Order: sequence, then C-alpha cells, then structure tokens
Amino acid sequence: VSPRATDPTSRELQERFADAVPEVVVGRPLDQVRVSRLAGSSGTPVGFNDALRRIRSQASR
Amino acid sequence: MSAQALISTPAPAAGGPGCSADTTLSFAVAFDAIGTRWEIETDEPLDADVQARVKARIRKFDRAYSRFRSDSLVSAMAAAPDGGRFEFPDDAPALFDIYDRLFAATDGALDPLVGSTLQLLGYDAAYSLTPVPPAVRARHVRQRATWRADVARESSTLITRRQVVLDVGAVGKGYLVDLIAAILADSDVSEFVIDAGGDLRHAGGGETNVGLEHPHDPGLVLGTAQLRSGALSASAVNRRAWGDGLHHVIDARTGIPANDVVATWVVAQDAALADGLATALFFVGADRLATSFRFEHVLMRADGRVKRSSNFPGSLFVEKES
Repeated sequence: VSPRATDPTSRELQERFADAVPEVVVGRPLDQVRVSRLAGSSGTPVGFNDALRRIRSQASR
Repeated sequence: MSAQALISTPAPAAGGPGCSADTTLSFAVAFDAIGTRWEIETDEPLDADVQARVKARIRKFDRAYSRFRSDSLVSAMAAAPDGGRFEFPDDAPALFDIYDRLFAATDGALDPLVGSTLQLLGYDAAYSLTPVPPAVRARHVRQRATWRADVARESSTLITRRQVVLDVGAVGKGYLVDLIAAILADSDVSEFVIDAGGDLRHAGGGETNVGLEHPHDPGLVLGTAQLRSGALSASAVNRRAWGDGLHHVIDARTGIPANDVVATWVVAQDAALADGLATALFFVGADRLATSFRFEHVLMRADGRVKRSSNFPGSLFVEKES
C-alpha cells in the first residue's frame, strides 16, 4: 500500500497505517545486494546443525 | 569454545558473495564460541589484552548459563531435586530484569524456565532431537515451574525449591553481545560491529548494512537494515527445526512451538532487548510490546506475508499490494 493522499492530514494517517498492512516479499539474490553481513536463520548453533545431519543420515540408512 | 583464532587481521575487502566491508571498519577478529560464529570488526586493531578480556568474558558466561555443559550453574540448578541457591555473575540482575519484563509483556509465554520443555521436545544437551509423546509433554506443562512463581532472587543469586531448567536462549546471546560491547567501549574502541550469528551491535559514527536473510531461501535477502549505534537481532524457526512443526521457540504456557510467525528482526538500543523482543514477537503483537519497549521490527508470517514497523531503519524488497 503506497500512501496516495496529498492532503497532509490524511497522508499522515495513511502512513501511520501503512505498516499495518502486510506486504508480499519477493527477495533478491544475495549477489545483487550490497550488505556487510547477514541476519537471519544462519545463526543456528553449530551443535544443532551437526545433530540434524546425524539424524538425517540415520533416517536415510 | 573452539577454534579461537583471535588474531586481529585486516578485514577482507569482500566478506563473501554479495558482501562488502564497511569502509571504516578495516580490522576483524573471528572465532567460534557458545556454538556460534563471532565476528568483531573495528576501526583500529584490537589489542591482545582486549581480545583476552573478550574471550574470558565469553567463557565466564558459558560456565554460568550453558544448558549444554554439565559443569555450568544452569546444569547444577537442573540437577538439584530440592532446589538451592545459585550465585550468578555480578551483572546477572540486568539479564534477569529483562526476563521479568518479557515474561510480563507476553503473559508468561516467554519464560526462561522453558528449558525443561525444550528437553522433552528433544532439544537437550545431547541434541537427541527426539520428542517424548505429546501426552507426557502436556502433563509436564501443567506441572511446570515458572519464572514468576518458582524462582526467587537476591541480587545475582537465584533461589529455587525444585528442579528447574533455565534456558537463556531468548536473551542470553544478545546480553553477552552487550557485555562484549561494554568491554570494547571501556577499551576506547570508537567504532565497532559485533556479530554473534544474527545478534549484532554497532557503535560509532558510521553505519553497517545488514541483509535480512530470507527464512525459506538462504540465497535470497528480503531486505536490508542500516544499523547505526544500536543493535539488531534476528530470529527464525525454520532452520532450527527438527520435524513436524518442532522448533526452538516454545510458548511456555502450552509447550507448543509458535506457528504463526516464521522470522523476526528487531532493532533496539541494546542487543539483549533486541534478542528478547525478536523472540517475544513470535507470541505477542508488536503493538502490545510497543507499550513496554522501544523498538522497530520486521516480521514474516507463515503465509509469507511481511510486516514492518514504520520507522524500521531499512527497506524491504516487496511487491506492494494496491
């Protein structure tokens, strides 16, 4: 939702509510974005990932 | 801690695909500790004695709070059938205070005593990842200890009367980032970024560009944040999940993993608060949390829709619906 009103009062009201409307995310490939670091699920603990790999390899046997 | 390569080296010009180093932060140390990758970038090389203090502080934190080592205070609490007195480090009241506030603001959904439920779900010290039957979990949740009712405090000492399994997963890593930030500030490091696997803190005059990882596709970024003199924490449940809706963000009142929200990002003054609020948003609406805390956020729901607060310092790559 882009605020469309030109009247300052209603524009402010629209902007205040703009963040309440969910947006559909598209995402961009990492190599097209200039960032110094990432924040997200990459912070998963090392021990957890090891355990998950162990369990998956047991399940596939 | 393992692989402590705490040597201050010039930061590489590019930190990997799509990464570009912040112009003013030319030096970096990286190491693995408390199960996560740490990077500390600074404008000047970090002195060896400062690095030693950082290392020692992380060790002290791990000895007190780790649920995954048998000689920790948390393990001693969990092993005491009739409870006891457990003396935490001097700074601990600040950590416990944040848990008080988050417990209240989420009506007990966010409770550091959720550790025992995590164990029953299989997120235990051995990482068994094997849950006990739902009926056993339900009985446990009905009889569970809570942070409000079953833990008394005398400054940094916790007093219990029964076995409790403390899990500081919601706030602890951010809190430790703040402790490390204080060591750097004490040592006159004027500009730095601390990155502890998704818990970030920046200080100084510049800013750092942070990519918000798409929770369903690690090759995609769903937006960016510009972090300047503050903290950013991310929480996502999809990759720390072990089958059939089981993951590590548990509503302590039900013992069931949160299932409406899949990822959150919070910008706040300090990392402990950002970390805790990133978890609290899985249970409680941002509007309600905003009555108790100052923060900005981005949140992704299970249906893929993304919501951001109006003053979030960054942008999202979204298709706006008209």
